[in-house]
Amino acid sequence: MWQYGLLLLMMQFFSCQARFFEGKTVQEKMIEASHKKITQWEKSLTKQERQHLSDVLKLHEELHDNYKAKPSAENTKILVQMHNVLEKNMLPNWESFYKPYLHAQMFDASYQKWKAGLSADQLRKYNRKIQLYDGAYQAYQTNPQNDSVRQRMLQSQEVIQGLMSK
Amino acid sequence: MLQYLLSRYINLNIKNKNYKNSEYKFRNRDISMNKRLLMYKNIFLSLLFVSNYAVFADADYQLFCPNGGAQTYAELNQKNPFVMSVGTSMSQTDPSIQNTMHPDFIRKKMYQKAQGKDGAEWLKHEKRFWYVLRALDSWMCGNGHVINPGSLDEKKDQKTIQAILADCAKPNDAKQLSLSKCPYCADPSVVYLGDDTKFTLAHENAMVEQIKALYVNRQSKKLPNMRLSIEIGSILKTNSIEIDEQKLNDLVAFITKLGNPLLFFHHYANPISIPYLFEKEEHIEWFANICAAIMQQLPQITHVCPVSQPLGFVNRIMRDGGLPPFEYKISQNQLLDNITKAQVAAALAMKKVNPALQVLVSHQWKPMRPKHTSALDPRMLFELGICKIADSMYNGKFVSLIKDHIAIFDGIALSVYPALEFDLWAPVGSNIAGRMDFEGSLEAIVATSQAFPGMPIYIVETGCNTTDPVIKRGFIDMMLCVCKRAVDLGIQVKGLYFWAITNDSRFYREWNAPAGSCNFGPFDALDPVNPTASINAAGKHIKDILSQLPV
Repeated sequence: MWQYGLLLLMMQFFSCQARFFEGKTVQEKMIEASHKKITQWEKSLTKQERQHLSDVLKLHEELHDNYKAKPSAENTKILVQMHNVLEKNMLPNWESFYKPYLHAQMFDASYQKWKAGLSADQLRKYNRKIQLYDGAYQAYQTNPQNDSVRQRMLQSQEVIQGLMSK
Repeated sequence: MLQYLLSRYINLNIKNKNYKNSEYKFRNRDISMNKRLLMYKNIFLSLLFVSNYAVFADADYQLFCPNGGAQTYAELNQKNPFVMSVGTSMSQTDPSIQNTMHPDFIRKKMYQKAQGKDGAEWLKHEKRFWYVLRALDSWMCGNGHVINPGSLDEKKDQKTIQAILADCAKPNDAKQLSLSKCPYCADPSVVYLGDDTKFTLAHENAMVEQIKALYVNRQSKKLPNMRLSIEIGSILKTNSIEIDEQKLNDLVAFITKLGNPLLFFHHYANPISIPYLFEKEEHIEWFANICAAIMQQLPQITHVCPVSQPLGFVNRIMRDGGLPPFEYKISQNQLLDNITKAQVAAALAMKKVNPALQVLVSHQWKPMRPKHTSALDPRMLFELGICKIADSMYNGKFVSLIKDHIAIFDGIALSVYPALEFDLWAPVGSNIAGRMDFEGSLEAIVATSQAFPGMPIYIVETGCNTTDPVIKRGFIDMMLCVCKRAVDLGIQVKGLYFWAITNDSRFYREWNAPAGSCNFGPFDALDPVNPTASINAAGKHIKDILSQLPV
């Protein structure tokens, strides 16, 4: 009789252990799945996009390396926070928001370099178009989710692109 | 308005979440209740003020500080002594000190880095190029042009700056940054004039007079009358790690003239003879022994702090590459561990010399904020996530490094500056931007107290970079009000030390900034002939507030 009791106890013990190990593995698996998804998305980026996102991608890599080297509670927590930011926020909204937004930033960066190299005459000549673009980009920065604001910004971009390629 | 309320609510929740599982849970119910009351008051006030964030911050402190600085200071001193004063670091004051900020070291180190892959781009980086320009000192060309790169204007002289940066890193026999031609006329016969600025005994005495002129010495003798970061490099023998007794005696004499400064032994720069201080284990004991040796000669000093803002120091070097020596061969975590051990060892060594000594541990608690706070803006959630991560990596890291050793220390030396904003993942804003941030300043103190309940807090560094006399006075009043609010919440805030003493461009250098670009201090010059003549609005306001004290 007591053997059955002992057998029941042992079964409970091992099932608890299994649940414990399964729980640990579930979190690790989730982290690896998120990391894989983010890495796949990284590979789909163009060279310019990867360069523009280099700070945040490096940060993700650093946090992942820290976690791999020492999966402490602190490192795990920070990595999960990073995954929340990238996987749950940036990736789902990549095509609809972040990609066009970052492309606008990248264009603006090259525009600023081009503008810095203009002579005083050229600045005077292109003044109106530059002002229009600056205003449209500023409005887009304030309200990026507004379609009409984005369209206006894209139109100004086209005009500036034409000037830059002269 | 909804956006603003939501961001505040979320920020408060994030703060609470971060430390929910900390073993230093905030147990003081009175403080929790007052925090909630403060939150409700903020929400009510934000309904009244429809304005941008910066203006709100100004109006905010005026509402919370209706009595002005003088009365608030008197209220702070009612129950327990409270000191208001100023402070500086010798690494930013004396240009001749043999440390990693010395132009000799910077010219050689940056030249070396510039020869590597993408060296030219590395040199031009926004976080570094002012070190290049200032380290070049002065030159003259055969056509009589005097070239002073450190004094150029970043916008107006952009082309000249780019020409200098492109020229100075070219391979040369001297193996250091140097000009090969005039950036104005391309004349190749350029001559190095150098910089003969020296911080002499007369300048020391001038600084002492300035401190006295502010009436800071009329305050409680139990607390430091000012803050001073000394440089170990100034007391070592040339090209050695041994103490030069004469130099030590000179330093002791200077400190004694100043009175009872809150001493720091390391401030964002390493001695030139150990440019990678804390890289090796043996540096820990060396540092502790040096601190103890200095304290042997200074029995009158009541409060010290081994290392100023170690998290800031390490991040600036390792993450940004924005502080000499620009790199370390060990990992960031290892460097932080070594510095923590050095702080602990120094604290124990100094307490052996003087058991009554109060040893503090330093941090600049940085509140993190999203730049975009509209609930409809998709960037807000991203930025909130980044704020959480940044908070864990910076403030959280400080807590995790120190919490096991906190019993050794007697208080927190807190640096308080405006909150850091994140535009997506990019941090925006700096300590020298001239912003006032009542809420961020209070949050820094409350969060520090939450992390280490019951620990006395000394605000050892805070400032607003401005020449506007109204803002200068307003900032002093604002910080007094912040301290009063914190004290009302039950937090022991013992002192408030505003950053910098002089704005003299010869004797104050801000990290990677043009000469003369910062105006934190209460005096605009350090003139031995007439030390107190250059007192400005900040100095006069401090003096007015402290004039109520008996002589």
